[in-house]
Amino acid sequence: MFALHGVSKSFEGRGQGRLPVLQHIDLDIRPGEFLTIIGPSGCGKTTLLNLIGGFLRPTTGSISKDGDEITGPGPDRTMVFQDYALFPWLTVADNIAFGLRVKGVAKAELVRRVQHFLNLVGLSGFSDVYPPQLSGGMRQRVSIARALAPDPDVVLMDEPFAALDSITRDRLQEELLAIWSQSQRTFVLITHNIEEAVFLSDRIVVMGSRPGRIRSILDIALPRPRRPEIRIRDHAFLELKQRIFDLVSDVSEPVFAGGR
Amino acid sequence: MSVSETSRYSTDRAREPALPGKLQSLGSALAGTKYLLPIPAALAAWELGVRFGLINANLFPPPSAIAQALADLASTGMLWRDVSASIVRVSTGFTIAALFGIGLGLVLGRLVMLARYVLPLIELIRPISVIAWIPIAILWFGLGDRPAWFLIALGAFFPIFTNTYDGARSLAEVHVRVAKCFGAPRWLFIRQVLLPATLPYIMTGLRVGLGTGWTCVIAAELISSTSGLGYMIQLARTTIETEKVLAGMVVIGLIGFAMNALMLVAERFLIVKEAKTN
Repeated sequence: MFALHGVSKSFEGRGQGRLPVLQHIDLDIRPGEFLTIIGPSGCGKTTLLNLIGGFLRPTTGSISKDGDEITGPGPDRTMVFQDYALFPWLTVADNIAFGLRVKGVAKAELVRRVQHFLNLVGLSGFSDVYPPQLSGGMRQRVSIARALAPDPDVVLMDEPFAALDSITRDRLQEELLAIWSQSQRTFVLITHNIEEAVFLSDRIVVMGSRPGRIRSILDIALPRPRRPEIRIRDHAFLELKQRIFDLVSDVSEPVFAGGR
Repeated sequence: MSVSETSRYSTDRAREPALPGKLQSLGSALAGTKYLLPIPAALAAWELGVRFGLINANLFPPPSAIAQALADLASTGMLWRDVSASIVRVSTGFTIAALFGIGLGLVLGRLVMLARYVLPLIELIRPISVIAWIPIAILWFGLGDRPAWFLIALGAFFPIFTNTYDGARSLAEVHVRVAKCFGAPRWLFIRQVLLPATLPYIMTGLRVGLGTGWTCVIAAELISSTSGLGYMIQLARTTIETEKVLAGMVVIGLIGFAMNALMLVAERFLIVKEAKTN
């Protein structure tokens, strides 16, 4: 479906010529998969997401969907932002309906689909509430519903749970998996949280930094549905965590040496 | 410590301000009225000063005489004619100012490059007092309604434009990104993102602009009209009916006050207050 071939991206540096951010990225995104991109800060993972989203154009290489080059943002690739980025002046229902209005969905169908996604994210009673009245976790669920509503090919998530406390984050990860399996969409998520990556993903792209590049792509063959307790009890789970930890905290990367 | 103890404590805390809060606001409202006391006190001192011959009644007709003049004007229907003439004028000029001010403010707020070229021009014209425009307005439009419309529109334009522009500039980049990400067409972006984000600023601009427009209509009528409150007080001056001049001024003040209050009410209705809490 989505294919990145030989993608590199550099930005104009301050007086030191061009600053390479991403180098030789080759990646195929498979339909319906849950793909996570993990790496230390500065590895260009957000840049990579913005490239897929169409907010940036690659310096070299190509990003295509079903063979067609991606030239800009589009409703086939919706985004979930770390700080939710909900419209505070619109109700929860109107926020979710935003992408449906873009597509010109008729009134009755629009109401039905908003209700469907409200149910899906467990906020059925909150359609007329304004986002500032919700907790962080609830706001992020609205944001996920908003991204899913226009029926995109892929939902791009930029560290969606980074601003949440760890208990809320664990619960939302479990809910996200339920939402993902029900919606049957492709999810691409960025994180620097190893456990989050292992728990959610079909595949994990481990990135290295300076310049940002793909270090390894791992298949996570853990059975689904994944129960919360595998985080601490499942051997395979813990081994995968260990492996990714070793990959991201490689000695050649002192930046991350102090991290978890 | 048990869980129930903790929760009881927290509900107590949550409920606590509800009742005392209401009493408090009633109390503070009553306490607030004491700040209004200087007004009747000044009026009483004025009235007594005239009665005891300490103040010249020809230059400072007492409040009772002004009230009498007001009642006379109202009973002959003259007052209503002038009030409505002024209000119709200000409505016309204000509507023109709102259309141009909001339109240009939104456009320039979003088109930064264009704004760089246009703003210096606007800033150059803004400091010219509306009073200074009266002669040229008469030369351009003659006497009557049209110079008044022009002057009101000019005066009201600047606060409306400036506030709208600031509001459009303050639109968060992330909300623009969301709109782009979903591929929102221009009409949807304007209706659901730009306008609601800018609305609080626009309402402030409209309120200030209406106040400015109201001062402009009086200035215009003093010189270039044959009706309206400004014309009325000017006419009363030529016939040396000082109490009528002051009665007109009182009406001007009261209407201006009422307009501001109405705009504040409209603001409260139009703006999603929940959105402002974050």
